[in-house]
Amino acid sequence: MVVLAGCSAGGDTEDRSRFEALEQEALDVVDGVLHDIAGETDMAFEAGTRATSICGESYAPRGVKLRVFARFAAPAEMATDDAMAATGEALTGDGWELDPQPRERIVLATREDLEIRFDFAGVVQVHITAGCIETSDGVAREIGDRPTKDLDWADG
Amino acid sequence: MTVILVPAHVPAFRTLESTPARALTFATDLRAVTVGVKDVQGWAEGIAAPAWQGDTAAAHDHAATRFARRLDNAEAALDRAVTAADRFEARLTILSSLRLRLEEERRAVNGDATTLRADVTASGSAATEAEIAVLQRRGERLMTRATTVIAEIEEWVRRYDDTEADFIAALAGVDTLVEGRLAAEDPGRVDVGPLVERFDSLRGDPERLNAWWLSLTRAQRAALSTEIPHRVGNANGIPARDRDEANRAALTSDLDYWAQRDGDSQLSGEERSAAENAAHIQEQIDEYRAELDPLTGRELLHLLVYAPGSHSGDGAVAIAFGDPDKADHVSVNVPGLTSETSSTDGNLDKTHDLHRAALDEDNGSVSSIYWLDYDAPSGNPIKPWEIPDLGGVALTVKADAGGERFADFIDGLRGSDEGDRAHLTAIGHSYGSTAVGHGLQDGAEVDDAILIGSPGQPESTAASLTDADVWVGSKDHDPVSLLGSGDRGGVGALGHDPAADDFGGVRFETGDGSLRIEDLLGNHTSYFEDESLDNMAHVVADNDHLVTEQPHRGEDGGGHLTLSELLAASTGASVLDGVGTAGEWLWEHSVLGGIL
Repeated sequence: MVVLAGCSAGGDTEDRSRFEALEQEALDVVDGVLHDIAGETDMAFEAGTRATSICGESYAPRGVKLRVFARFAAPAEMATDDAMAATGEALTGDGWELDPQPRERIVLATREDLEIRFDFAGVVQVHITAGCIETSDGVAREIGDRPTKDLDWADG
Repeated sequence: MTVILVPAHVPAFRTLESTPARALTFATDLRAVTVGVKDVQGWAEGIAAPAWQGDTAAAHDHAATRFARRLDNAEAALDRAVTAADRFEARLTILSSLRLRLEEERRAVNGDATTLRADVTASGSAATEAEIAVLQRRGERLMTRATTVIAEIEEWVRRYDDTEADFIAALAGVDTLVEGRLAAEDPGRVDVGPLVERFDSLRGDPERLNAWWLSLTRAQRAALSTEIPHRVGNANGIPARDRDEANRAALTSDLDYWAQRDGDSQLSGEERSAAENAAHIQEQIDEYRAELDPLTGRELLHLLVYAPGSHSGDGAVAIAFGDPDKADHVSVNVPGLTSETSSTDGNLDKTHDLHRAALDEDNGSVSSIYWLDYDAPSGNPIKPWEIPDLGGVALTVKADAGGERFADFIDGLRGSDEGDRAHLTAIGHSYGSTAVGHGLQDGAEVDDAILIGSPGQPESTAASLTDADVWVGSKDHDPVSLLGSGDRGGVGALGHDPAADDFGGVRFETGDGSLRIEDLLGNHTSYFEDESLDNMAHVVADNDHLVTEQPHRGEDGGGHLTLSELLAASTGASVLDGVGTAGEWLWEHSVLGGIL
């Protein structure tokens, strides 16, 4: 859990900045290691989104959750096990710590506040998430209400 | 010379340019257009002639009749197109699953061929006869596999081509006015009137409705889902996939209609409220649109209930991740106080987290449903003056009514379940747990029930509530969970505390939560996290043996504060922590004593 101290007006600014920094970090992961992995395993990007939601309920939002999602066609030639191994290697090289595999065909890793998860089941679906980023209620509602956006994916 | 056969790499084959997800989007749009045309056609048929006489009246009747007939032609053509789109999507779903398997095998064969080639090279001329024999046998087996997968791929490509060609031909068969008229005059055209009557007579009996629905032709089902999309989409017993398609058509059609009304400044207050709810639901569909069910290639999300104008304007919605009719494990998550369609976002995210956690249990396929089709009271759970009649009859009545609807929904899931009977878990949070409790009383056929942050249950023991296993998540620093009667319990306005020792449920580990007063509500809203989430996932995936427990309230080791003690202690804790906002928070919630 990402804990932010303070809920005053000044805290709101800090909350927003903290969230935006984390969101940018997630997008950097997309532009960085995720692109590397897609290139190395020859996975074609198909679709993606980035979305936010409050952690709690409307009467107690608590903070914000971030969800970046990307879907790829299966690696063109590489066998799934090889693609998973290549993914793990690339993540480790990028400073991620691999977590125990919860089940077959999943690669899970964490780096500070972010978690990345690859699900190699036919298509490859990738989630980049952060736990609840605690903010003031006002900031949580404001960020949680943002509409879902398509994920920009630059080829090449 | 020794010969070891190694197959050449099987080349990559065509990707699905028409995917099931895209076909579903196309079919939804087409269905929505059909719904709109049917609405106008119905209106045109019913146009009453004004109080005109003579030639004027005759001209009016003539024009209205021609208009209605032309719309009927369009309707007949669209019905055929929708049927074709449904068939196309169904065939693509099968082809998509098949392609996954073939692609996996193709890459495996290629990988094994590469390995074998390297092994042959490495063995060189020094290989013994026995080693050569092993390599030869590997090569022969690999040749057989390569030949088989090539043949299967060729067959797949042929079926894919046929599927596209059939779909194009079906659309081309109704793309002119003449063809529309012919479709309308076709004696084999579906007569939807009697089907609607039969449909309505079976609503409320999910098993019979399901059996009847499955006996219909694809064209009959398509005609019903465009004639009465809201009723089909919300009918318990209709397969989840068909409910999803009908509801999406209804949603798209409604949004178009309300946008036009809004543009004409004719939107009523009720319509505006419903339109906003529909927009919230569309936003949720958009958020998860890219995520696919790997088993089918279809969208992971299924819209099972769509009624944006119901429940005093709060709306009703149920959304599933994964197809509940096909899943081994199904959970239904019922939210509590203040829940309305506009608050679906955060709750759906929690359901998605649970879905993933339950899948990670690796004990079969999972569908996780968020269900909000009851009138959840509004207001802050620990600001009772905002909740009308807390402790009075109204709250119990709403939970009771919600429980009845919930039990009906569960009956529907049982009615449309395919294959082996699914393992089904009901989850109720906060007031939603009370509603679930009433549903259990009504005989909801679930295998497990999880009650989290519960303010009370309508029975004093789990055994008297249900035959299902009852699991309880209750943080000692969650004030709402201290409202029920029981060991040192609260007023019990909504019933008994299920975490109490005498209730007889299994209290799973959730932790106590923070003692700071400004975190108390956070404790109430964080059951879908950490060990609490893990334990719920164990139950949902039927891995009960992995659940970690904590003592019941009133049991040895189960000491806890009462609500008033918690509030006093938490205020002190916040002050000791030097948290500046504690005083402000306490001021805002200063009537906490009202719930004691």
